[in-house]
Amino acid sequence: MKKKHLVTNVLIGLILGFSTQGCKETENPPPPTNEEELITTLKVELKDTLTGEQYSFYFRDSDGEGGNPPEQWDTIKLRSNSFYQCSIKFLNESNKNAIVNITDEIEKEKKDHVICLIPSVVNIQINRTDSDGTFPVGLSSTWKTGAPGEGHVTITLKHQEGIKNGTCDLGETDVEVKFAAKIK
Amino acid sequence: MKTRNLLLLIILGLGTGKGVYAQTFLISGLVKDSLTFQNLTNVSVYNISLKSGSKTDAVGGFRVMVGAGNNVLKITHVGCDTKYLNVFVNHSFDTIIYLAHHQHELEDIMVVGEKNKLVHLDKDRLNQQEIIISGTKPIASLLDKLPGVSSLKTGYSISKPMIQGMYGSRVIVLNNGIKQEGQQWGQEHGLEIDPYNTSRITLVKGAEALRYTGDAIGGTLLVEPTPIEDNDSLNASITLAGIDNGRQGNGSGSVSKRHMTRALGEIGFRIQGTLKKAGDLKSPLYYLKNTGFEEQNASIAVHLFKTKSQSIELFSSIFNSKIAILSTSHIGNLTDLQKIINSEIVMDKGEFSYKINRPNQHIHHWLNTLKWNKHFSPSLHFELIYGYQLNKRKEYDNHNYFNKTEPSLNFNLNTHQIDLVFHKTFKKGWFLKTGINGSIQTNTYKGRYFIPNYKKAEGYQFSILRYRKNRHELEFGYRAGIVNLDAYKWESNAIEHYGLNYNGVSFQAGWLYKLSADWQIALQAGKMWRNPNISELFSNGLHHGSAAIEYGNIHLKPEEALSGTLVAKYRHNNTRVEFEMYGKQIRNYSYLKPKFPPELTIRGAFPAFNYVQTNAFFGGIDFLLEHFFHPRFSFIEKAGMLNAYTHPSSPFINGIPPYRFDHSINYNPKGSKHWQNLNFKVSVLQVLTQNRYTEGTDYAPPPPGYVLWNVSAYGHIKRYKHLLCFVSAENILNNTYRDYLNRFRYYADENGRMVVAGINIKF
Repeated sequence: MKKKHLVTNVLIGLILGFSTQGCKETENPPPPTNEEELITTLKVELKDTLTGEQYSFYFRDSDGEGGNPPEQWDTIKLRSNSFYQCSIKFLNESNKNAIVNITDEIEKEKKDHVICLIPSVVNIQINRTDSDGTFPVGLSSTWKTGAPGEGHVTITLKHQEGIKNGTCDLGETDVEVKFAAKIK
Repeated sequence: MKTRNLLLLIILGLGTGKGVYAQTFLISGLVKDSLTFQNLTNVSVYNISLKSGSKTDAVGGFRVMVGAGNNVLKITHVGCDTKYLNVFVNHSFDTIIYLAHHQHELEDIMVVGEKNKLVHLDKDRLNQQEIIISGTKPIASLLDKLPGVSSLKTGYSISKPMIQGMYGSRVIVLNNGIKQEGQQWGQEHGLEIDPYNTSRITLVKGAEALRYTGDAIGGTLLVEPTPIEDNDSLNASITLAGIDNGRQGNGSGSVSKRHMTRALGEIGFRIQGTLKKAGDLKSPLYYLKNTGFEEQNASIAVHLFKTKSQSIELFSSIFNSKIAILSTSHIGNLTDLQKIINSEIVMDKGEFSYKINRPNQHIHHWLNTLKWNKHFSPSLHFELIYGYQLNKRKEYDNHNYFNKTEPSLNFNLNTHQIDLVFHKTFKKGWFLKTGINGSIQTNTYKGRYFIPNYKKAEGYQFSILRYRKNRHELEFGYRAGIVNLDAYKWESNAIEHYGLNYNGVSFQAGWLYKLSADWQIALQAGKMWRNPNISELFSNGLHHGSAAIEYGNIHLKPEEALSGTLVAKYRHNNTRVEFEMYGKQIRNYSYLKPKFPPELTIRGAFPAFNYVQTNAFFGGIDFLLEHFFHPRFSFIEKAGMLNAYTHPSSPFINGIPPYRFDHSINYNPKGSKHWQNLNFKVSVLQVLTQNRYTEGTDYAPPPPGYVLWNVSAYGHIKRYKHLLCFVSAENILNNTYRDYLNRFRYYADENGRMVVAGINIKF
């Protein structure tokens, strides 16, 4: 009889112990944290070297991939036969109160990243002006526009750790945005 | 304490009626070597009481008449002492007798003969020897050996079982009596169990499955850890194995001891541990970059006490793994995926490395069980099982910014389960099993959103009733359940709470008829329901591994499956045939339907999928044939054929295993001077192309079928009787191929030839 009681008590004790531990964990799920390395925004800053006028064009999808569709997707509008200086910015705007600039990280890890700027149909000549020492990076570039027309400019950011060879073929695509472009 | 002869260990009894006369019954079955699990031929099984008996045939089968009440069986075999077995019989049964062919020093008899389920097919079972020899693989990959079971893979090291075309939450795995709770929702979430601590894997269908679960529309797999050795000496076992491809090394060892005491009866323990390490695998043409893995597992089993009336067992196991994910599989967008599929990216030959780079996953699974068995009388007992599981999963993406060391995705899953079952044997062939199960589960995540934090509570009540008379057996079971789900989702800077409730009843009915001593047939029919799982309801976002955006649907209804199965089993002299034909009509079958056009994101275009429901039909045939065309040679044919389609919209379902055939020749040579229990096997695995596919519904069409030649050999060294040596080679011709059920089929070839060599020593 004594043995039986011992067994029952041990069982009840063990089960209660585990269950109460379980209950504690079930009470309040912690609020999910924001992802800081998310890239939500691509900003294209262009400065007319002659007039000094500044333009900014955006692609913005602040809830990341999936979810709501992108809320801003500009058309790049430029003047014909002009010369621009371009700088590319990558931002995380998922939390409006704490916007994170990811551009600096790319600058730091420029040996592992490449940005390609490819115009199609539209008459723009783009030259990347920065370098990681061997290959261009693409955060800064010069744009020279020709005759008026319409087309696209595709901006791609590739992560190419240890495999960078100057092209945009290899690696993982972190950003790929096709902007409509107009030259007046 | 009464002295027991451990010559015989009878387990897995199955009642099958052949009562020709009211007072006479038939015991039939197989005699196997308890150490090697080989079928033993020419063993004499003689009933002294009735003066009748037989010798086991070429497949180790025997049949012996017994009278009601006490019988004395005399078992004789060359090389063994003659032993006597007392059996009390009140019904005919089918059993496996394990004969300690090599352990003359052990003298004990144990009869366990539990009638488990209506149909018990050998084709649905893997034994310890098969598991030891293939333990280098993840456990789910071993199941490919069962006809009708495949494994859904993500590379080599991540694998989950697929039964008759179904996986994930449609397949339930019971680990030591407790439902294994990993994150079943994802394809790249493997089955986190150490094969080296597994003595047997059984596929359970029909009413018996309702004892464990009511939502396993595909099937229920029972994984049983290795028991404490049934003798009083200190037992130890060591398995060492290596594979050339991936330069994998495995080591596993265990120690167990049982002790008889006056106060507590039988007490004992078993401690076991496994280490595995592998580097990059190689396909015939190139190294598969970043495909290594490492695993550290340990377990302890303790029998606190075991008397005639009750027993308490504790079991705890830890599974830890770090798995590298093929680098080329984490690509960017749809354009990149198409480039890889169109082979525009040439794989460089690469070189071998043990390093686990990004992307990778770290898994930790901790399982604890407590089992209490109590017998009130010989005809009534109950079992209580309590389980606690913690599953931690950390996924690291290809890279991140800010050199963050935290994982990109981090899940923490806690589960408590309780299971109380009564077993009652009535007079005149009636049996009842009834009980309740309950579980509470919580999941929390950090990092990228894919699955919300949630809390799930489930409660079930089930009963299974069986009736046996003469050549007939009938069974009926039901399982009623309620599921309550509270999910907490972060939506526009506030936590949204979703409360969902589901309930339903599953039924199964079966009839088994023993046509003759050789033939038996069984029919089963049932209705199962399954509540939508958390990913079907709430997933929302980019699945990095599959480069797809998935949207859950909170309005999904529970799935309902009507199923029918016909099973036929034949065994006569040199031939054994097992045949299963099944059909499942599923209402509200939920699956991922492509959404058009592809979704535009900052990373470019991605294919997007919505969870939707439709009606689906799954129908197929599983088949096993074994024929001894010579006393030492047998031919074994295994086949799994399944067709599945949805109606009325799109005819085929993607991801259904293609027809699969395994043709093999098995040779058991006579023992040589130095070797015994030698076995050689040549098998040809033939997988056909999955032609039942609708153009444009997948990123790439199913890869062509393939044929692989595999060979294996094993045997015991005579001088060291407990030393088992094994060597095998898979894909011996080093063929280049891709498998439709491997998600990496888009990116890279399957690994090439794999030569495995190893030993198992028992002390």
